[in-house]
Amino acid sequence: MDGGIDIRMKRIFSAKDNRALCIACDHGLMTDPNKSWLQISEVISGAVQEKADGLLLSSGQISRFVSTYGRGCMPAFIVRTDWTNLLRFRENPDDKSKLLPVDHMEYRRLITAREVLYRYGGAAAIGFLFVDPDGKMESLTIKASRELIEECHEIGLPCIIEALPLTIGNPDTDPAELLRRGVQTALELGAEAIKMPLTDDIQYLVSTIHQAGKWVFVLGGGNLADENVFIGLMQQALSSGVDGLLVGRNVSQSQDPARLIHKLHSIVHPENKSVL
Amino acid sequence: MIARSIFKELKLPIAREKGRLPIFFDFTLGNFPAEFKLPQFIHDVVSQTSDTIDGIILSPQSLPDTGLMGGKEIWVRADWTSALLPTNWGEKEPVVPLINPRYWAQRGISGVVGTLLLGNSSSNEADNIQHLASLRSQSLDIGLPMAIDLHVLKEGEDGESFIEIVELGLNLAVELGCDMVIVPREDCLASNQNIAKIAELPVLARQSLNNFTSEDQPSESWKTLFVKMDGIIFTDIHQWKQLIDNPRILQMGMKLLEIQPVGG
Repeated sequence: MDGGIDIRMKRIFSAKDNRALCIACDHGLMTDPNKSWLQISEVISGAVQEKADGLLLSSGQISRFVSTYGRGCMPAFIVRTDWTNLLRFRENPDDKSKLLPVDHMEYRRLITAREVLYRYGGAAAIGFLFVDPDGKMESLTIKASRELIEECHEIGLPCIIEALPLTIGNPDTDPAELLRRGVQTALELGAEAIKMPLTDDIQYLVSTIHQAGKWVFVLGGGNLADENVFIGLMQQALSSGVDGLLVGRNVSQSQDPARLIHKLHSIVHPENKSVL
Repeated sequence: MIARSIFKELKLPIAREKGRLPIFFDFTLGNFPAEFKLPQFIHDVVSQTSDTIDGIILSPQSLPDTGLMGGKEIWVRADWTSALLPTNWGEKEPVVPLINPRYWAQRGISGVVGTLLLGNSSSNEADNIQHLASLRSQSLDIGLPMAIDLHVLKEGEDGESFIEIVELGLNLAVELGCDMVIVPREDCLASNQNIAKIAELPVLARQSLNNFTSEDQPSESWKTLFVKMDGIIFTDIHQWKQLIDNPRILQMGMKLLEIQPVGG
């Protein structure tokens, strides 16, 4: 692995156990205003206080928060480089839950890898790779992913690809099959790490990713009403061999983000804390 | 009141001297009647309001000799869209990038203004957001402040409120890292509190001068703007000509512009 990439990956993953707890706070770029956004300061404070290993932020949020905390106490920054309206997509016309709902997906790259590294001090860049049955969003995001990875590698910056299966409008499609395709593509494109949802064949996917010498994060997947269920799923993911958790809305919509981060920290790095 | 970070960097000599919020005039919305010779008109208006306004927003082609501006803030609109023209209002029109911020920074401008259209369709929203992200990158390259001018084209078809759409725009403005945001109405106060205040993002209210020509002025609503917002941007400045032609209205207008913020 390139020296710069290796050094920066080690800023995210703990030297003690090669695992990472990262908190995603980039949803404000892509979703409706909600409680999750309004308490972003508490979430970031909680992540710092509970020594999360990484924070996923948009470029604007990094500019806001970077002066808030003192030297040496910030988690590593993972910087969102793109935008999508996926989270506002409304499959059912009767669904009133989304503000400004959309009926077709859009995706755009917003910032370059050089900006991630030089302007925002990022330890890694992250971009989407959507996998859909008709391949339309897939071809668009494969191209964008390849460009992002190339930009990152030119400057020794790790690139994390967030592989997401899209079954919108195709309810009969098997999301696990799409995800397998997305993970394989991201590996072939040269990503250092894959962020993906938890699936039934997680062990197979983790094994595939590890055999390629890459890292794997699982995402939380939204707000689970029962915190214990969420913790249980994350424990299951870690037992399956994933290297890190990269979770956002479950934390940011929690009544006590710092306490939930504390719990997550204890399952990611069990040698440090035990609260469960 | 003028405590947010970007305002500390701006000149705003009149607002500081008078202890009130900054006032900008926006000459850029593209609906000036053809008989207006814009650079001369801008010069005339700025000359006659030199003790009142803190800054102006211009299209790049309208930039007058900056020496005439007397140290005022000069922000340049970085894009154009026909969606804001009276004939096309609310249509699915793209926002077209116009300027290279580096070139205009060399000519002494204070900042750039990007347009964000929300509320009708996502068909151009993606390109609009990508344009704003690019403008932010380019302006940061040269240390130039950037404002987002938020326009809600249509209230949602499914009952989502005007204010919620403004909140969505404020969300985007913060996440894209802009320094200041311009919102359409005084009832965006809720957004100001919930989102912009968390982000410590200055919010300026946009107010048309169209209502300014009659003799019974909406002074109370204007007062609300001054109390609840961080500044005010007047648009439809061509109406100012009627004010200039009518000293009594002009006097009344000037008086309104000097409304002091309550609890500021």
